[in-house]
Amino acid sequence: MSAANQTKTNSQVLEAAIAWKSCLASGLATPDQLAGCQRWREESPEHEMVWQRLVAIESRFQALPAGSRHVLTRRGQMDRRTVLKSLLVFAVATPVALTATDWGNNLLLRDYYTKTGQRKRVVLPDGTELHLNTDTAVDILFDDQYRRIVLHRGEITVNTAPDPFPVKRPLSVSTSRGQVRALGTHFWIRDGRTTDVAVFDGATEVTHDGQGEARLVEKGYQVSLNRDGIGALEPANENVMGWTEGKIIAQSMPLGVFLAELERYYRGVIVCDDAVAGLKLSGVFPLDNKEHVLNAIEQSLPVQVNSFSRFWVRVAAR
Amino acid sequence: MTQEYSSAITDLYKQHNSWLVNWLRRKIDCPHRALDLAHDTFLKIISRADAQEIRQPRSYLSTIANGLVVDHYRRRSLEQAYQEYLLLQPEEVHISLEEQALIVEALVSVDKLLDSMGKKAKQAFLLSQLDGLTYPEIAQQMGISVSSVQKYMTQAMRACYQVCYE
Repeated sequence: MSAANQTKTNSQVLEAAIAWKSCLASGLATPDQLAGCQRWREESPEHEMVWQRLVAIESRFQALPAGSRHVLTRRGQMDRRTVLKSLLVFAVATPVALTATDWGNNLLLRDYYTKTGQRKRVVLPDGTELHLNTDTAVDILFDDQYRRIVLHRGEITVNTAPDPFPVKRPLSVSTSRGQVRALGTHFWIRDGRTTDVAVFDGATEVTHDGQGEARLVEKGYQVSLNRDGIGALEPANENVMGWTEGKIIAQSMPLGVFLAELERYYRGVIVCDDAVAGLKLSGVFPLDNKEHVLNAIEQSLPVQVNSFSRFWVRVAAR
Repeated sequence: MTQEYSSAITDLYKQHNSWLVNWLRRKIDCPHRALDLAHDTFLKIISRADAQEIRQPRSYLSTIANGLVVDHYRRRSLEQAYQEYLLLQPEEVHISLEEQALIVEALVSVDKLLDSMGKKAKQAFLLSQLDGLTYPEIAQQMGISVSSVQKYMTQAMRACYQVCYE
């Protein structure tokens, strides 16, 4: 995907190039501006190189055939009934009865992702509600027969809605280690060093891709998948969903584990000394204020928080 | 490719290819396509040159394959939308299958690029690049100000540049 060069483009040069390109694309550029752009390009080889790259990007679009805008803006923005009606008009010789299967292209293809510290709530067209936690990437693939969510990385909760589509489509989530098939439910999945699934309403069937085993996980229970298979059923811990309300909920949580959790939501590192990693922490902590949380920990535990920079924090014994 | 590396790939293939094909068959409905994608997964691993360091082969394979599955659905969706567009034309359009395949490839690559930007930026960018509209014309069509168009356009260009070059 990236070009062979190792160094990142100077952001000032890039912004200038983009500003000039935009000026010329606006349809409003004056002769003075055209001359100014030419001068800027000639100022240095780096300017010209970045300019040519922007030109190369544009030419990929200009090489596309007629109708491409229709195709590229099709997802969720195309009125399928209008398209079907036009198809009927076009195929006037053949009488067509609109049955359930004539929904035809009921294909939804969309991806959602969050960056570090970002959380997102998404409602899918069938009414299913997704919450994405920090650093999470999902793909949504709905077609005539299935509703599939692919969890590439991160943590989500899913609240399924009954399928409004005439043919009920099963909903499943693919993770790196296995499939979670929803049986009308509210559940939580985290895909990281292990893949964990907890069910808070209804049930899911969890299948391990590598080992082929399947397990029914019902409301109030959770399982953990690792390389070797699906672990035993355990009681589901509702605290894992605290982030959907912008909090971390700790109940006698070892400090080391808590700080590793907190670290996920911010760029930078939080180091916990072994000497204090086992201290138990309880409480409800807001996710949007790292300073506040670290202060609170300093108040309630015999620890000292040292900030070497915004991106390096170390928690040690006092 | 060194001999050592070549045996690492061969081992990976021998141990995990059937598993991968079955895994893919469950995700996409076409068995031929599953074989193709399994093959493509291994090709991708070869080109990434890190087969010797894989600690969790199935997890690694399925992550790469997942990306290819998504690409598969993306391609299918674009193909279908393009077929639909051709059908909607008042006159029959004659484009060879080969040319159609090339067009779909170009669309897939541009479609991925457009995923890097917001919806409004994408809309404005396409109106400018595909329809050749000026900013005042785009502003009118989208019901926003010219300076908003400007903002979306720079956003779009920055996103494309970052995907292509950084």
